[in-house]
Amino acid sequence: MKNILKLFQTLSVIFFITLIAACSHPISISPIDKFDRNNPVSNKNVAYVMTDAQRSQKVTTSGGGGDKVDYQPYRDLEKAIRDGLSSVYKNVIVVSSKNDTKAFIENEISFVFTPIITTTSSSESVFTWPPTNFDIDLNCSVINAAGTEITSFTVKGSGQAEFSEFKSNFGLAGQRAASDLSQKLKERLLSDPSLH
Amino acid sequence: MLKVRLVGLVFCVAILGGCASFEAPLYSPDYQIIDALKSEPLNKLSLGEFSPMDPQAAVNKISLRAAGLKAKQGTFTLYFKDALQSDLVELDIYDEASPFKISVELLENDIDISGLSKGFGVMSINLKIKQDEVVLLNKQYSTQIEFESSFAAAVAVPKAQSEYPVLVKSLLAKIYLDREFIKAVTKI
Repeated sequence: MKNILKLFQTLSVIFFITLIAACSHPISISPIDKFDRNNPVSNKNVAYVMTDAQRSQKVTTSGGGGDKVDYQPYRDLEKAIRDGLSSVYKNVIVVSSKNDTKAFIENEISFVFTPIITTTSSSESVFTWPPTNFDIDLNCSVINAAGTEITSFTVKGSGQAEFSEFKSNFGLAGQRAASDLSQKLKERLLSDPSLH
Repeated sequence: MLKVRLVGLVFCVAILGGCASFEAPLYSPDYQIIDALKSEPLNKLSLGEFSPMDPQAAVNKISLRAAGLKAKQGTFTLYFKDALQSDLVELDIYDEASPFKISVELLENDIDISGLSKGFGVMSINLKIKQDEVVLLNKQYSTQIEFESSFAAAVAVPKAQSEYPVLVKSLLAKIYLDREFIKAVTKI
């Protein structure tokens, strides 16, 4: 009887551990702060390409203690990309295809950005699952309204968070990386005369 | 490794216990709808009264199982006001001095993750637009969202937290697509 009870206890512990271990924890990586978009420096209008399929795409990366986190990078980071572009250009619109010439003509678009997002996350903690380090690579190819390639570049947003900070916000490292991404995108655009 | 997992389990139970409170992420709009509105000849708009401002009002309290969801702004009424204002700025039609004033009363605001596999969000408001003392629109809007949830609180609670901005986005998108709203804010 004692052995059966012990076996039951062990199986119960394994069940709960499996339940938690098998989980991927959802987080949001939308920007943590409002971005200063006042006084754009260019009078040009630009578009960026993002589809509903991209917005609904779910990505899983590492958290702490061997666990994973999942999120929707395009949905969550669209605001960060938009903020970076809007801090430089007069008007920004979204299109679902880089061949939407009708929208480019109607909105007098000068440049079309096609962003590709890659993310990595990690945690130094073996006890807690929220990531303490988060990196976002944003690769943008840029064409003009006629379809000619102007340039392509990659900017990286990075964010860190400690346990004492992310108790009420498990995606904090990612959200800080998103805010950093807006700033890095703005700096990259301002530094490139071919995009003015 | 077993001990590490157990400590992790204890952490999850503790952090998702009664005293934990989670912050709603920053609102992000449906930019396709915002961009479509840019082609309309819209009046400049200001924001009037938003209610209820009492943090203890039912619509300003959301419970995610044993945890609470809070807004960085202090109340969900202010969260909604901030969201609407940022959209008006995005549309370049926000002007504090405009006689066209939008007022909002938050009527329903909840995220429900009591189910084992599905979560739900519901929000409804009464929106009033006045030009000086003339009422141009007085209408209720509501929305519901559904999302994947889980038996495990360590999954269900952060998922519900990340869905709150989606709930607000859903309601504001409905408003921006409503012809009566567009008519009320369009230049004659």
